[in-house]
Amino acid sequence: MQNSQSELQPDPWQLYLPYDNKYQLKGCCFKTRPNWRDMKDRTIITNIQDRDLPDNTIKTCKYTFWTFLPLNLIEQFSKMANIYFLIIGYLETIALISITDGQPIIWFPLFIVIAISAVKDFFEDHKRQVSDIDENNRIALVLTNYGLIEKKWSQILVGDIIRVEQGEYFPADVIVIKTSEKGNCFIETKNLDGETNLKIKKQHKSLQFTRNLNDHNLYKEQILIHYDKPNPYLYKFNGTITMPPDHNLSDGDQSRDSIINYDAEHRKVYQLDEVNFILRGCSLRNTHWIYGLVVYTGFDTKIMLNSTKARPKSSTLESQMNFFIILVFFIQLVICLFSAQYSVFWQLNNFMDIPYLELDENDLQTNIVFRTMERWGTWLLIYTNFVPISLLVTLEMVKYLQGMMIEIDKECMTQNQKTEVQTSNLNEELGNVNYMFTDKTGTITKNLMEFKTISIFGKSYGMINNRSQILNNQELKNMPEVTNVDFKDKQLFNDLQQNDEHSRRIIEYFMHLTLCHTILVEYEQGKIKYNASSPDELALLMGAKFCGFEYVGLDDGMMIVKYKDQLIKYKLLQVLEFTSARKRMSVIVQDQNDKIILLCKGADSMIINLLDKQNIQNLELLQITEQHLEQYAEKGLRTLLLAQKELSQQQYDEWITKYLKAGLQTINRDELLLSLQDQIEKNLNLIGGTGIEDKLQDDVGITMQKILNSGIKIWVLTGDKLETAINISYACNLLNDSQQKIVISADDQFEAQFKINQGLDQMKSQFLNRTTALIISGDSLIHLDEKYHIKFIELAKQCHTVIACRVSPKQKQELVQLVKDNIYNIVTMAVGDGANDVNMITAANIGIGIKGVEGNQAARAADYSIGEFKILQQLLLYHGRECYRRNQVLVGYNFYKNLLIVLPHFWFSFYNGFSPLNLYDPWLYQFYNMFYTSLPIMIYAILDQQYTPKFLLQNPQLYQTTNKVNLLTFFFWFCSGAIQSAIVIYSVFPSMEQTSIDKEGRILFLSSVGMAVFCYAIIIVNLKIFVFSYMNSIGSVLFIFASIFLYLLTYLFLSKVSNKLDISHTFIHLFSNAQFYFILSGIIVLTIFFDLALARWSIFSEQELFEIQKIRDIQEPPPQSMMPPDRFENLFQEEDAYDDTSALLPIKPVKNRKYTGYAFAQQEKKLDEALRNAEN
Amino acid sequence: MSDSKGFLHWLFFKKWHPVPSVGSTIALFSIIGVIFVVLGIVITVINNNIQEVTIYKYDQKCSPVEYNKKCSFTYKFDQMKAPIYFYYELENFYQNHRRYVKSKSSTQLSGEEISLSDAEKYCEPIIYNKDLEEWQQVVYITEDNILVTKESKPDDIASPCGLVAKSFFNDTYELSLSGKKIELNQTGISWPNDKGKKYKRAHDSENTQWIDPENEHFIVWMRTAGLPTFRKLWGRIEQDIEEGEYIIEFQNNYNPQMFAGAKNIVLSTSGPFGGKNLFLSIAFIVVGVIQLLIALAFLIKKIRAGPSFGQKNE
Repeated sequence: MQNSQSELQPDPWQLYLPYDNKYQLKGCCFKTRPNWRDMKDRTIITNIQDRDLPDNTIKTCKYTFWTFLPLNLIEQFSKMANIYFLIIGYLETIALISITDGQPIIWFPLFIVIAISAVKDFFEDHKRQVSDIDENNRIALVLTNYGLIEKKWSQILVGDIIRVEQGEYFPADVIVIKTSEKGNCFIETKNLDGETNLKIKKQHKSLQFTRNLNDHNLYKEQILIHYDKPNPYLYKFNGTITMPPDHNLSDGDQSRDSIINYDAEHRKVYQLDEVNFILRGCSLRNTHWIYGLVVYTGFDTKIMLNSTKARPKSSTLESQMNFFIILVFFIQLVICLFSAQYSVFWQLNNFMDIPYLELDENDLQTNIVFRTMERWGTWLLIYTNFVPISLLVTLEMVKYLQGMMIEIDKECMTQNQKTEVQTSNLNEELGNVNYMFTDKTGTITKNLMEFKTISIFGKSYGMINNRSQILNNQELKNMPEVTNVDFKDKQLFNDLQQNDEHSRRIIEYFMHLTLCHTILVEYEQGKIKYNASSPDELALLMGAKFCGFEYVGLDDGMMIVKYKDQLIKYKLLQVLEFTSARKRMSVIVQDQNDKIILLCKGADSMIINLLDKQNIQNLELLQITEQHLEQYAEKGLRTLLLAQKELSQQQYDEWITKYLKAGLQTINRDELLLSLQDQIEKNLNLIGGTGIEDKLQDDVGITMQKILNSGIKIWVLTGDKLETAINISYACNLLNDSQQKIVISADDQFEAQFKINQGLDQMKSQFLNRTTALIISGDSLIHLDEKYHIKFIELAKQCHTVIACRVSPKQKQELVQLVKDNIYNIVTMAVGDGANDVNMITAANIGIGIKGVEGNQAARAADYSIGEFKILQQLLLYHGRECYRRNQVLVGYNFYKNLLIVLPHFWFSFYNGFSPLNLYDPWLYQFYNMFYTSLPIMIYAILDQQYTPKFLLQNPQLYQTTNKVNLLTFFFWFCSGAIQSAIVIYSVFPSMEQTSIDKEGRILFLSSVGMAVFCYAIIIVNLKIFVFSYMNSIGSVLFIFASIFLYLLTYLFLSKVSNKLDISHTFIHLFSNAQFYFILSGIIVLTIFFDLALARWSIFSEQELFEIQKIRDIQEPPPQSMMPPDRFENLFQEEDAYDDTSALLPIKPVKNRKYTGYAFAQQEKKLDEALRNAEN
Repeated sequence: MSDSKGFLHWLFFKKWHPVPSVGSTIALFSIIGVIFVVLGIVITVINNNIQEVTIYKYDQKCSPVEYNKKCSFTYKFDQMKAPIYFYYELENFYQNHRRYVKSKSSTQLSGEEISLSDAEKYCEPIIYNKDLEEWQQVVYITEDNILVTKESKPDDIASPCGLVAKSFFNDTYELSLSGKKIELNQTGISWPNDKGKKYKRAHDSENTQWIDPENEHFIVWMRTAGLPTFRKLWGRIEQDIEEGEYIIEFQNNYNPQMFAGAKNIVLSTSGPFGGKNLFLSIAFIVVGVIQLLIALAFLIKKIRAGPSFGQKNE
């Protein structure tokens, strides 16, 4: 202890300054959070709240009630488009160039646009606020003068002692003070890093005295803790604990100062480290309660400091759109310039012919620059709507509503979770994903192991292919109640009752299962509860229990097994722990007959080498068992081999003395121990194998297959071991044996680099044109430098699947970032469920969080949170694809409709020497975007459907067939608008103005013909929706005609009511004129029907392509995994009750499969710890 | 709540998904094509039955060409059926120029008085009486197009002001056949509701205005044309006219050199859909042919690509 003291800061007492912890005040009144690097180390005293430090409030919302308006306005006007229209509005007030009588009419639609955005922002922020309040208002027990008192999480302060009950989450980062379990406690960090095994946390030795204190006395304790400033390092905690000289220092108000003034001689300083420290977000397991001292709160907690700030995400479509808007703006400027120049030169050239305009020739010639500028300004105002004012807000609203559609889609719901759209901005991005990164635990798998199949002395059970062998429900009821078991083979129970050689072996086998493990037993309300650090072991033990062999517990060094109401005791001699290098574990036990047995289970690759090769029976058995294991692995099960051997007393004694001696060595102890373990674990006799199913989420295989078929590349990023990751990938269709695999698992830089180079070479030669999977370990990634990162990406780019195992949360994020940075023009999506995925989720273009059973951290950070992995099918293949298709049309359509209304001015100008003339009524013109043409396209973008969801899900390749947006897409719409506006102008003016005579002989004039153009534009724009709609509903048709009708109504009103407008009384001129309708029909046919022809042409051609695709698919049969194995279907068609989920697992054409699914999820313990266990 | 949900469902979620087939597409476009071609032919026939006579540059028919003088010439008309519309047509006159179109005060024209600032704002550059033509400063033109001489103050705001009013076309016409005058009805030539509403005489019209805004020729003029060559209705002949040499007498007031164009007279009869519209008949036939070509293209593609073209997906 003295040693560790000297490493620490010299003297915490002296370092302590009363106001050290205070936040700096910046600016006049805003309290800003300094960067954690600028904070000071902390010193606190238990039970004295440090009010200078922030409380435990978490705030993720952007605005408060008061700051909403200014901040939101600033944000809105940081959008270029809004500034543009603001400036245009100002230009409109300049009489010289105004086309609107000097009124900033454009501000009206701008106001609406901004108001809508603001309302949306308000509600979104409100949602966040609610969830903040939710989190902040959770209740925690805080120790006070009056005992334990319930307080809100937000009210917890540094210095408080809180009590956390079993199963509860920790509201803040705490130091363990005392626990119900003799100073130990178990926590689960699933929320933080996704690991579900329990971790042990300990009370510091110096705090042992608190065990006997009641709440009241504990509250009086005043212990000084000095520790690091807040920092984001999750697994690091540095601090000292300084005891008061006299623990029982009694009553009286102990102010902080009095403690600080302690004489230096009395102090006792101890080092605190990570094992005493629990993070916010962990949950307490297997421990009834603990008391903890709050050390970091709110934003200072490690988990909060670790969370990357969510940056605003925008979709590719949007950035393309923004670029196009800028492009359009430049086109607009060029056209303005051209128009203005033309206008001025026309006036100069035709000066003599236009005396009735009373122009001043001198002025024209001398002020040519100014006149040009003036014209230019007016043209700018006329062409204002080149930039679609309502596009951004329409898109925003549409996406929000699309998000709602996703949320109410029944296919996007699981039994108890619905899909939530948090960033509706990215809807269409879902239809454009190239790379998908997914976490394993909790995302692909349920993190639930199930006992599934066993192979006992050459006989396999659990692979049922005969109906009569299945336990029926009645029989199942008689079985012991267990979890984690999916075993229904009647044969086993029959064999067990035979009382022959084989049945004895079955007993032997199950005894092995019940003894060879490291599970602790807990009694909870009289029931046995297994506490397993490895879910595999739990499943095995549960399986044994199911078959009648119940492990009751460890009592006085005796392992007790209950079989047929009989207690069988074994003395536990040694546990040879599991390590990832050994891939096996053993126990040495002594049975009631003093026979010493070594029981060993592990990966087949390991166990095979340890078997007794002399024994021919053993080898024969191995052959059969291996076959079984391969069968299991094909079904995606995790396999283990079980072996055992008898040890003579002498053998054991010799070995154990060596082993214990080796444990005391200081040099090379680990190696020595390992070699000794190897010594004893040999010449084993095989007894069988196991197959455990790592329960996948429902339909993972199908989902993966569909996502792969849709052309998305899948990367699995997992913290799990290589074997587990590979195993799961097999189980969920990501890997199969027809694939080439490149495995990069290197311990040093050179090996890693070599492997990558080798992989690249192989890609060019052997693996050319073959599907390839890349498997890489996180350690190898660490060893790669930047140059090799790029090489790695190059390699990974060519692989369909990449599996990265043993990667840390940070590495996950880095991988996503690496792909994003190095592959041009792609969209990445990350799927995860735990807090360890949050970084990855925020880094990817789209983050998808799976709402786990526990913890919603990932879901909260994500853009979309879903209930289960399988929802991705619907989300990507249907919603994503359709949103992408529809939104791209929406954007293009907005350019189109604005051009259709703006460009007539351009075309018309050839009639009037490009003098900037507004053809329409300025007010109706502003309504155009807002009211006459906005709703139908919105309805289209929300509801249209090219294919039914079912069809799209059946044909994932359709995911790629939506035309990818590029500038040409928008340009097409742009040209369409330009051409159609020309058609309108050049058919309306010659026909209506010159010869269109009504019954009284009257001829239409500029304003009325202008309004006719406007009317035609509105009709065309609205009817155009029909051209690209694949689906119609009553509502959609209704709104299209309602929009046209609304225009007619407002026009009629304006025309009737006002006397002073150019358009006054013109309504009747148009609509009483037969020729108006003739021209209308001609224009509709020339524009809409022409478009319809084009659209149908492309649909028919697309279907042609699709047909080819279909034929190709038939030639190259889809992977069989898409279909459930038929043998079940044929047999049990009428019985639905039997639901074997394994039927959904892939059965693949396997050629000489070498891979067996070894996987074992267990935390390695240090060897000495294992030794200590053995000593006990 | 459930009701509204049901309603929404009915409105938006009962979708129908028309799957177009090549056959129906070909049929659709053929039918439309045929309809348009037929309509085009019908319109052409109708157009051919409409008579339209244009007398180009009538002012040149008098010799010598003098202005502000009466002048007459003879012109042979075929037999025409009432109603016959009498138009004047101006070529190369840019009534659609921004400076021109904007230069009027709608307020003033609707019979209200306007302030000087408004006049300056809207009527630039014709604001005061002195800015008007000389003859306009000394007359008052009544509703019936009769000129009454009067004095006006040069510095008063011109009423009506602006370029459009100032350039008012003031030629007048009379038509007679062998000494018998043929009546040209000049009422009802403006659009309904314009007279008396949008164009309304001011309170003390005779003294403050130089023309009565309810003068229909004026109203027709004020409704500016969109094309540089435009017609404006001047009168209506409400009786059939026989074939014969007609004498057209006109007051040659408006100098075509002012606009470097031509003054024409157009007489036209009307058909069931209004006047002669050659554009429409050609356009309809062209549109119809285009539709037929589209149908043909689909047909050819269908034959060449076989059944895979336009195969239904679902």
